[in-house]
Amino acid sequence: MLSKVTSFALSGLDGIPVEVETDINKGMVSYDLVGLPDTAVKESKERVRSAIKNSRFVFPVNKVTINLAPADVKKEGAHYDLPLAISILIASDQLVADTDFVFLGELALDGALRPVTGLLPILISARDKGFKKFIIPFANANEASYIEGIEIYALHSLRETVDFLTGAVTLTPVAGRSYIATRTAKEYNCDLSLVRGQKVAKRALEIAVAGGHNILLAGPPGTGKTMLARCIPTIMPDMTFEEALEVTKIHSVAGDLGDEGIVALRPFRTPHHTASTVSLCGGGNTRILPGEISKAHKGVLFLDELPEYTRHALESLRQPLEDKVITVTRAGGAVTFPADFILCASMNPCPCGNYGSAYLQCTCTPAQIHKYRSKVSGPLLDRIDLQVEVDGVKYDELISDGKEESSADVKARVERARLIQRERLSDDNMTVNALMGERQIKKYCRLSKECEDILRGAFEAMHLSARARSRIIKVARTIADLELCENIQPEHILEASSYRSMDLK
Amino acid sequence: MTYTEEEQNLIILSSIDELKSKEKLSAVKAEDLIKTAPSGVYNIVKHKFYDKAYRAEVLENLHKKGIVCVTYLSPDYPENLKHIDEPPAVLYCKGNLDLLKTNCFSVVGSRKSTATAIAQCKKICGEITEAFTVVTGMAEGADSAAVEGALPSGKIISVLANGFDYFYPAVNRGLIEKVANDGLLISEYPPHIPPLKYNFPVRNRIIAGLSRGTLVVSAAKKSGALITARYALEYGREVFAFPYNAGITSGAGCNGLIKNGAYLTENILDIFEVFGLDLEKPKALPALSDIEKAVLEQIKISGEGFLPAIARNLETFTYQLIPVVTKLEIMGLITRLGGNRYGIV
Repeated sequence: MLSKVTSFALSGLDGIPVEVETDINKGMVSYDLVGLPDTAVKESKERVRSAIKNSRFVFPVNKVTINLAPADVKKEGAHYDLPLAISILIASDQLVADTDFVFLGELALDGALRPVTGLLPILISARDKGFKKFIIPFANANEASYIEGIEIYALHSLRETVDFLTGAVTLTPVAGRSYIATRTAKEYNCDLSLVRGQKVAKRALEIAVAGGHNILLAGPPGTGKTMLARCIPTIMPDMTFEEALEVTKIHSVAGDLGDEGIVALRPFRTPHHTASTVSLCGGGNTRILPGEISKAHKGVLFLDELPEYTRHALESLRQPLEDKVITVTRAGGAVTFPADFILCASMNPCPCGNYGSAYLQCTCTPAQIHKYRSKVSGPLLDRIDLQVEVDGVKYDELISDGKEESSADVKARVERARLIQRERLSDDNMTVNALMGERQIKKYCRLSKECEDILRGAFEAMHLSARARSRIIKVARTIADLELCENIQPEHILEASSYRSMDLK
Repeated sequence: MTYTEEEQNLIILSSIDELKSKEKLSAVKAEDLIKTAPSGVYNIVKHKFYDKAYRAEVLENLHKKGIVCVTYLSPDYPENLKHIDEPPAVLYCKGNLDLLKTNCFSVVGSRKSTATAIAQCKKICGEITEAFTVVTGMAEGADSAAVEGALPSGKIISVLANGFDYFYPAVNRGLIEKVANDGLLISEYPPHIPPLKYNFPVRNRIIAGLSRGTLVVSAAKKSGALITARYALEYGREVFAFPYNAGITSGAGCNGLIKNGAYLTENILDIFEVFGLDLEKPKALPALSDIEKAVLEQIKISGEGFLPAIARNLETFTYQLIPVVTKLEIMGLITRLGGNRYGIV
């Protein structure tokens, strides 16, 4: 007899419905699985056979043919175990039940259901395609509980699934959970108030986050660059539910979603400087997985010791920094992952690290410094709007006036400035100043004669590269927004141009 | 450019690598030089000297590269340079030759100079050009700063220790080309000579020799800049030096010079006074706001200031001072020292 059961395949962040068709005929005992299965799916045969046996069913001793339709889409991952088993049980008349469920789950040899990766994007796609009822592994329940409008049953084993389908047991669907509650319960484990001194860098962080600008922190080793960077997510506005779902989808596909079920805090990713280009951008032979830049989506990508990264890896960041998405193309197809992150990089000002230190003499020759800095290419540096020097003073001499602002205070100002930007840029379908192109700069950043003069003077005195101009204006716009100024004032231009300290002359 | 027969002889001799620089200079008349050439290289020198094809090739090559030779015999040869030991037989020049006739003043310093010294060097070189042509080298650090300071006026002579086929240091390629356009590049070496370690101290005698005075903006205990200062003393020229705090490595040589009688130089007036030049009234400071004045005063106390500390002293927020220091920096009154510290210029 023939049976049909529905499951889903994953392509990037999109789910594609897959029909699992099983036909059992009399004939030579065989098991044929067709429809572009990858190794994990092919191997499911042994898992499914044992799971069926150990769940007190019988694996048919006949000619079993299974087709995964559509036949031209590659099927990857272990989540086809459950639909395969159910389909075989139906086809061999061991189970009689309606099958308008979507089945997802990996089977253990004893018939238990194991969690699968990439569940969230599948559920969201399936919901959007009109599927209503789902059976998933119990361990994935948290992840699924945030999706509204569908009935999800989280089960422990194949036996339980069969009992549930035949009506032998009744279960309630997974209860929906409120994202807001989860988010408010979570806290970042760092706060700006814990960073002593570093007033200039803190100010720059505030501007960077308010306008969505990328930022480079330059300073001697041990001056708190990493600590400052870790504080960036704490001053970013809370993620909306839609944003959180988007981020969770990526992490679900990557398989690094924890027990929480949803990524409620903005991601902070710190790939090591030995990271390969593929690990940063995403890729993979059979199944294309998101890279670090996508895992940092809606959060922060922190590149510590920027010049130590391979040139190739750094250059690969240029396009996603502009487009906010990355399209990974392989022979098997192309997948687009979102990559809308704030890039925060840190570097020493010179190879010995002491340039700018108040106590230690820098022992580098100008040529060495030049060589070190030129490891970061001009085009990449151009995409980093703010380049800040952190204080090069000893910890106990850091100027602290006792009242360090907390992240919450800064966040309030950031949210205010972001609101102004969103309203102003709504016609252009943008949210933050950093995204503005030349056209928007002309439209929204009119400079008075005085400002123009100052900008020209800054260029001459500070040897800025011509490409820095629009960056300075955008940052000045953000500063004006933070100060609640309608127009860009001279001091905003002055401050913005001070954040170009690493420009190669 | 046409050269007399004798000038051509000098140019040819100068192009022969086998001759030591001293031998090229040992006689002004080329024939004398042939006679005095050491026996080991006599044949080579004689052969090249009388080889017409070789002579034509050398001159043609210089012409093609836009290099003008000012020989010892030329009326353009700077008078000051004639009075030193071992004046170069030929000055290979690129740029504005008129500068050779002007009053020159050399500014030299170490490659490793403090950021403050660099900024002050640049500033004072701009002021020196009101009376002198600035002479310096092309090294990174103080020399480059001197070039940058003097370049806007075009009154800059940069003496290289290598032939014009080479750009050294490579990072200054752009600066070298600018000097060739707006100022004057000089070398005593034919174009094909690469930068060689031992040529640099020798080159310093030309810097000192061209100038009526030499300012050392930075020098460690053993620094090439001190060699220039020593030459200047030998030739009876004035020596000036920036003063430094005790303990600054890149200033120990300058303080040593001052101990031995060099003029302590805080600003341009200290230099002009020695030459009896009209003391130009110091330019009126651009109008400053109250907060700008206050910040400038704070930095002046110790010569450098740490931005958050200034903010604390002035009881204001650090971020509110960022535009202020940037404006002062644009005005050229202060310079960045890195790590949010600023130094007075």
